[in-house]
Amino acid sequence: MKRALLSILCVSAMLIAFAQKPYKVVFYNLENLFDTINDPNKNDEEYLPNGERKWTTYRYNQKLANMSRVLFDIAAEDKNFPAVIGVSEIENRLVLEDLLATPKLAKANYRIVHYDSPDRRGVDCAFFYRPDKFKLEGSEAHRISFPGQPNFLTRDLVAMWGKIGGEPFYFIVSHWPSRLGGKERSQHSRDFVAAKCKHICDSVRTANPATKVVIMGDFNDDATDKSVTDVLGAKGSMKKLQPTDMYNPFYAMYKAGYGTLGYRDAWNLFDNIVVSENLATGSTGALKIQKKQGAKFHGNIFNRSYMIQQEGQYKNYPLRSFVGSNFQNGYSDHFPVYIYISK
Amino acid sequence: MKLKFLLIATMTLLVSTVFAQENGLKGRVLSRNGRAAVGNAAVTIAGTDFKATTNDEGYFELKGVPAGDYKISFTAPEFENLDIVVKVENGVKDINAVIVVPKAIQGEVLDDAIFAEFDNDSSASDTQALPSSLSASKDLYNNIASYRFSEMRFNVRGYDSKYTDVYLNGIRFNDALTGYGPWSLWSGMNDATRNQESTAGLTATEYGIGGFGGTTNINARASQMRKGFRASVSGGNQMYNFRAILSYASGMLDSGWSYAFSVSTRQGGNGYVDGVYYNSYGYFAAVEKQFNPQHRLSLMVLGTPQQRGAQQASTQEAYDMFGSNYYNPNVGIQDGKLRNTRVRRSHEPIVMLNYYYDISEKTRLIAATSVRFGFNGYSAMTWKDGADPRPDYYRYLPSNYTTQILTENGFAQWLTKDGGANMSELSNLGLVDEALIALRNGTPSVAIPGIFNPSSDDQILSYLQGAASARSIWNGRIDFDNMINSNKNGTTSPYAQGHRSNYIIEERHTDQIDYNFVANISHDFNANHHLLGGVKARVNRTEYYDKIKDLLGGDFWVDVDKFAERDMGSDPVKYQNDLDYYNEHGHARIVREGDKFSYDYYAHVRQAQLWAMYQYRTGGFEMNVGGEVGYAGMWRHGLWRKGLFVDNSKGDSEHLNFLTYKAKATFSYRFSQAHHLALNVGAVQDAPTFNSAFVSPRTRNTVTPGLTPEQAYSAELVYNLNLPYIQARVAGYFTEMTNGSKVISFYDDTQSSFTNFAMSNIDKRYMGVEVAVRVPIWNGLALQGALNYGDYRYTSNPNFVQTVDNSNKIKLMDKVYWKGYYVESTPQFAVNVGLDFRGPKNWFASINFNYYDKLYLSMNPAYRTNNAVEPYVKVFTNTKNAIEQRAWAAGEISKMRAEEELGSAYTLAASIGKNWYIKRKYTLGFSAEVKNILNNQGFRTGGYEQMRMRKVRGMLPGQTNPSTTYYTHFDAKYFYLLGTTCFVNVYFRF
Repeated sequence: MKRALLSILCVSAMLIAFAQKPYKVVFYNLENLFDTINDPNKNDEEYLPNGERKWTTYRYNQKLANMSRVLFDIAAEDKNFPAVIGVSEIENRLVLEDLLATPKLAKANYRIVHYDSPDRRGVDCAFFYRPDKFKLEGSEAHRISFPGQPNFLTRDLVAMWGKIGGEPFYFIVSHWPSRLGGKERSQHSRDFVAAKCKHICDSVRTANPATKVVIMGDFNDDATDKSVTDVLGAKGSMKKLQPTDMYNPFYAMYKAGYGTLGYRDAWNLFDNIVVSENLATGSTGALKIQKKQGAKFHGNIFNRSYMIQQEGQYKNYPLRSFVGSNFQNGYSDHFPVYIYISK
Repeated sequence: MKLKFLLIATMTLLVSTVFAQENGLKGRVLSRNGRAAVGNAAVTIAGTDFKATTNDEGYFELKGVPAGDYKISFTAPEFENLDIVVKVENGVKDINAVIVVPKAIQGEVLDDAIFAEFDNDSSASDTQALPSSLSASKDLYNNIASYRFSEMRFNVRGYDSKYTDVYLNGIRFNDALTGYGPWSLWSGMNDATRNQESTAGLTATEYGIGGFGGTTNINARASQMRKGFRASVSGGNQMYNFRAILSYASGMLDSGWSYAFSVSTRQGGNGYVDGVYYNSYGYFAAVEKQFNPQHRLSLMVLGTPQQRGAQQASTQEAYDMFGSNYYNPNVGIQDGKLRNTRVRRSHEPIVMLNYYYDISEKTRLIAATSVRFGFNGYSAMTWKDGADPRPDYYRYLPSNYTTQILTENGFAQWLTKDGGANMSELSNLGLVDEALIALRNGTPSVAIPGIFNPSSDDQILSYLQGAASARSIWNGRIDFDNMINSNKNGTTSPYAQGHRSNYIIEERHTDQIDYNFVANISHDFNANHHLLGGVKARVNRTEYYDKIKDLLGGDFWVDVDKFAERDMGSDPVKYQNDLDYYNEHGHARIVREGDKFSYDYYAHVRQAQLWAMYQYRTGGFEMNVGGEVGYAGMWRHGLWRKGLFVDNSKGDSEHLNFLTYKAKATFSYRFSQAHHLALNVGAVQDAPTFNSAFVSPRTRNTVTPGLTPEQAYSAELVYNLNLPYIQARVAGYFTEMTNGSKVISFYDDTQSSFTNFAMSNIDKRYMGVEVAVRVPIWNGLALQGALNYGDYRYTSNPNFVQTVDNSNKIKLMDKVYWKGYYVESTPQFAVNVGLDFRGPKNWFASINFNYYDKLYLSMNPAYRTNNAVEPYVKVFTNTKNAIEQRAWAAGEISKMRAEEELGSAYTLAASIGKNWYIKRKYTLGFSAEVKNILNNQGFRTGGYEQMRMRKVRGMLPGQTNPSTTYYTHFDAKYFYLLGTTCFVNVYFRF
């Protein structure tokens, strides 16, 4: 009798100990994570020790420590390192390795998916993933070429696919073209990239309707802009969601007044994680998007007070690393966003 | 021929191939485990035969790889395979470190212990509060109003500048004596003061409880100035001709130091008003050290040695005679050059030390201390005997004569036929000119049938001739030559060499030493609860004195009170300004250029406050509740004993002590990204200003009778709309101010003496609506506008006590009857509509139309007293008088009391500009602005009723005395909006 009880207790303990934590998916625009080495094929001159921004090893290490702190604190929230972290504005693979080498992230044992983009500034997108949570099966970079504009280079869409909890997943991380020159004037380029993302999602789901697609990135458009809601087809509500639609948990947050970056005294929500219909509703498989306990929205924005400017003219704005060429030893001009996926 | 060419071509090709850059790939393979070198790792290029093995140090090199995109594979025993894509181009590409992951580190199950190893901010906020509002720049309404409407001296919500708190690095810098905004302390230092945080209305601020008119904090510290070098050069004719600013800021250096410098100059005048000029400089130097992430210390020095010529308003008659609404009566010609007798000259540097201590990530301490010192002088003419040197003195103007014609009823009735006698109407009618011609030619003046017959109306004729004569000799300028000549032939004195000046230029000083200390602490209990608080202390000593600036050709001045000498000349003690000197030396002080004279006293002001504010945020709701309690003390300390007030002028006056307090509560709710609503209320008790606390601080220690602190309360409701196709801000405000006090000193014609008019119980009510809208139209073009519809009125009839300055005797105590009258000197209605364009390649342009109305002339309270209308009242109440006569009297009472409206005004302005960004490092920018494009020179921006009353002697209905004295307004003095002006600015930055 005692033995049986003990066994039950042991098994329960083991079950509790190994109780499945939800999968966290994060996206973070790291604001220009460059190394201190000159890459002759990139415009990284500003980010060199003798460059405009005096990008010394000391500053580089401070930036790494700050980025590491944020990612660690996101994990520490529920003692759960994210399964997938998408990042943008990183120079190359080496800075990703240097970030993973920081003490706070080293033990999490992430792997990297990265492709060099033709972008002139030299910044790319990439993924970190936990091999024990996400079984990688393949990856590729989707090159964006604008018809009739051979000199307009932008960041590749970085895609990776594999299995989480036995279910097929397809991830895309992207950094859509900026609003430089005016929102309307540059809208067509973001619409083009949005269309490409949608096209990839549609192809993947046609090939295997059980695939759960996650498209994340700095869209340079708000969650309510047409490029996101119509071209990408990411709706803000789960009601009336068509199988070909995507769901954007950050749409409702933006409408409520949340944001991930500040510009001209207003909040924008450019950093989005958009999921395919089956991941939103759970119409295929068991995994679907979940709300954090007690939360109102499916989306989450990470904005602790240390990441926010506490004083001065730009009080309450995200505390960025650089203002012009003045090093502030801050974090990023964007806040990270994340979602939870579980059964 | 062809063969030779082919041969040469082939040879060149061969040669170039041999010496061509060979493409390839190299790098170093390291393990993730401690970045140890991985030797013997295989490097292969997929789809090719290229292979290499890393040496013991991990290095590898693949040469001769043709340019292109390749998948490179790295394999090594004990390590996970790695594939990366590399573009080979431009020679041997160095891919630097390639990190491979050891197989040993499999995906382990992470346990919770890893999170215990590091401090982390894992305090999940209970409910994610909405992000705080961003206010890096002014809101939609204030952005437009503060810039566009300033041309008409618009005050936001009608308040004086003392209701807006201006902070410099966290220390409130409003003037200790008047409360006014201290902008002149750093004017011209645009780069050093560019970093500003503003709040509007009653919004909570973290520097204190704040008043009703918003707050601005200027961050002028080394680390807050934009990093880099900036030079700007401007030209124009709006305020000054030329401005140059040069600045450099280092930004935060890795050593923790940062420093910044800026210098500027403004020179020249505007294109319209003679004698108005700037000769100003500015300097700023700051250094800051961040000792460690917690401690920061900053030192700042800022000063603006400046000189500027001032404009005086004048009467419409003088403007018309001079031929320009920009005539400046302060100006004359000396030695062939234009000279302005009224020049403001000051140099009041500020030295400030700021200390920041981040006790923890939740608690911050700020301490700051500053000293402001230096001098501030304003020059003016003064004279002992003889003719008033001011060119627009009323006796020199034709109206001095023509207004006397009022006594002749026939003429008067004819002039008042259309509801009002405009004295310049006489000139416009050419009657004065006719009289002038007649004077010169000896011919008779023109007759007006039934009204004026020059051959029989001797009295009127003599007035017209007087007016004509005055007109002919008037040139509007100060006669320096006459003054210098008079001085050179001035009287002599046994106590001094040379001649005694009759006319001099004095410089009246208010030299301040102002110490401030501030300490604030802020603490975040968690993301939702926040507490702020602090202490402030201020000690100010201002020396008021007069100084001889220019003896104008004479050799000395004798320091006596000329009015006392005139009134009580028999007793020399009475007219001494420094009786102790007289007692010691037996005669009044002889003073020369640079010497103090007339008066010398200190104003002492002490202020201390303790404040605290609590902020609570949850979801979209935010609330701030705060209060402040304080002490304000002041007293006068006379340095000289005044002969007129032997026992009441030297030494300390009564020490005045006041309790001050502030209370504020703000509530706001963010409904969604688009809608935000706030309700803010506040109440304040302020001490009276030093200048209203003493009846005649230049002469004696007497405290204003009935002096009380001023109270005010205010409420506002603000709605903000932010949709992609429209942004708007709508606010309603209501403020009542009670128990205000004010002291005016002037020569009262009804009392025939110089008097002090001390008012108390001044109540005002300000209410209105502010609206601002911005509608993006298309591709960078937006329509925007702002509107203020205000109703600002006096809501009480203040009490006044009028004393004779020379004797401190109370002459009169009564009320000023202006309840319901409008608050003056700011347009209560102002509207702006504009188009704003931000184009490609950093072009920007705008065009703006502004309209103003409900602007009232600054009132002379004496016109609204019973005393002023007494003679008319007697006529009106005398039932024996005819109806027309009583109606006339009623009309005159109305005219005396009426408040003058300055009429509406409108302006059109346009601007254009562009920035060039060169090589990602340099910025070149230019902007040009034109104001009042329509060149309308007839809009009055303000002005004031003169403090005198015009005495008219004549026969009043129902009286028997043919020479009864009664009063009418003196002509008012006006300021006019400048005609078309432009301003061009070019700057360069890197």
